[in-house]
Amino acid sequence: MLAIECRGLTRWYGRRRGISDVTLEVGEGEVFGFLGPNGAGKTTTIRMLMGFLRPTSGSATVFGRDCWRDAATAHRDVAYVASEPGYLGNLPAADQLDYLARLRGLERRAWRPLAERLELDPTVQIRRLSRGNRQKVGVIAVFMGTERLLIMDEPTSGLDPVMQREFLTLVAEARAAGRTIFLSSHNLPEVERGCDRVGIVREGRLVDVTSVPELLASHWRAVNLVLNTLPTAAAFDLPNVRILSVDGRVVHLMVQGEINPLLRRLAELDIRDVSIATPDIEDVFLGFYTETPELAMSAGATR
Amino acid sequence: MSWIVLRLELRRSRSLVLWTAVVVAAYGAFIAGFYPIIRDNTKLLDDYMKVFPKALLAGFGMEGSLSDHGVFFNTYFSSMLWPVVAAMVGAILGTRTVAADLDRGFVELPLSTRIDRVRYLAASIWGQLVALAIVALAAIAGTLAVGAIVGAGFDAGRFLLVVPLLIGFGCAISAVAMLLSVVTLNRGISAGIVAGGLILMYLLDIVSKLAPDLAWLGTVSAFHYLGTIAAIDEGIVPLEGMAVFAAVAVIAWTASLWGFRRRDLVA
Repeated sequence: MLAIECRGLTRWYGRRRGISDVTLEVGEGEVFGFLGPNGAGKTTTIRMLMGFLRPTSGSATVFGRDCWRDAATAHRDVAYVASEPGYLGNLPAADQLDYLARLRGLERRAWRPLAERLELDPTVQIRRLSRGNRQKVGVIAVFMGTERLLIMDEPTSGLDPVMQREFLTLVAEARAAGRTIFLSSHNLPEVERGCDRVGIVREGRLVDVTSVPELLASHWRAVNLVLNTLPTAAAFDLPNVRILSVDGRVVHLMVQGEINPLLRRLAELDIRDVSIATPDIEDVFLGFYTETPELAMSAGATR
Repeated sequence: MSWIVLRLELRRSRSLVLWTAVVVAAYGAFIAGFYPIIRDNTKLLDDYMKVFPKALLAGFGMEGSLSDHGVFFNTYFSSMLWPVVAAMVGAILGTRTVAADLDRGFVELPLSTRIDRVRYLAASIWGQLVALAIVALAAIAGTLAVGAIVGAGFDAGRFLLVVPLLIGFGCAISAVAMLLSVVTLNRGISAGIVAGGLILMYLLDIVSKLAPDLAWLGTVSAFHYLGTIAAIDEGIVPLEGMAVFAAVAVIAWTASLWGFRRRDLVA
């Protein structure tokens, strides 16, 4: 059974676009990254998955249950954390987590092992916690139960690198336990390391859904060469290679997809130095938001 | 209705209810404390009141002699302090669960769990009812306690008759505030409309008493049904007022529950 299924999911806020015609499937046990810049429609999508917003058209289901009509039933299998959860400032974190635990049918103090692991003092009032510690409360809340699907909207913003790594460990443990994760994030390395597949949303539309390795492979790599001799005009004449610049014996190329044909050509040349920049997901991500993907990659290669 | 949500709602209302109850109890105690002065100077005060037009006095709840327990309580509490207190508590609690909690992002937390929207809001409604009941009882308790100490001779049974009326008035305000918050999803607008509506109804009630030709205007005012004189002076159960307030509260709360099920949660 699919954990999440969206069919033509569309939402307009009056004349303002939320998301448009999003069709998406997330299988059970999968970790799915949902990438996009601010305003792309990630939170709108998540709010429809949680039944907070009614779709203008299309449908969304969680384990086969309609997210709008059967929201409360669907939530039996869902744990959720918003990007900026609106906790009650006067309550200590412990009471806030107890409240959520009991509403989810969990034991009180179900959160305690995770609080110890993430080094959160649960006796402190939420309003006195730093942003990072408030974010920990959300991470603890989402992982403390046994729900089959975890929906997280930018859960690590504000966490320090150590806690971000701990978060990825929690994600890995949840995946190992067969739980499904839908993770909206700006943290691209986190998505790259933690997710099986990613969906990239741009201006309200889902522009690509693919596995992380496929996504990286299908995009441009930068190849920078310093030769001992001047290259011939046809030296890099390959269908998947673009010459960005040739400055004497210094050559900058872009190659998309299969790199072996280019390597065979390079083997015929007298090379002093070579560097090949594999795109990280950030380059790929930026590629979706620039008119020429290779320019984004080129910018990434010089970082 | 969810006990877990109700408990949190009551906990969140604790400070508001505690301090409001203390204030109204102290005020009730204060007016009860000076009642003997009024009782002992009835003739003097009645002569003084003759200076004012009868309609004007009626407009401010003084429909009879101030030494009458009902007129006294109506003048100094039911038509003066209670509308203000009920409006404040009702507007705060009525707009909190939907508009205010949506604005601060809290409402997403419980509604992301297995509790459905109707059960969630129903718990909040019970919380409003309990809070208003505590405040109303505190006012009567303060009045009766000090009345007993100073020998005011207040009839506890008759004073308790007005408690459901006071609660009903508060619940009607709270329910309308909640309905407005479901419709507008905005606490400021909802509370503003409630406050404006109450001021308008207060004016309508006064006008209807000042101008007999416009007496019908009073029937659309909540203050017309808040009279506590007959209950305290004659022991008549204020059924009409209770029925009107209960009807408004039940209709508005039901509409809130119905609307909330279908409402997008977007601040």
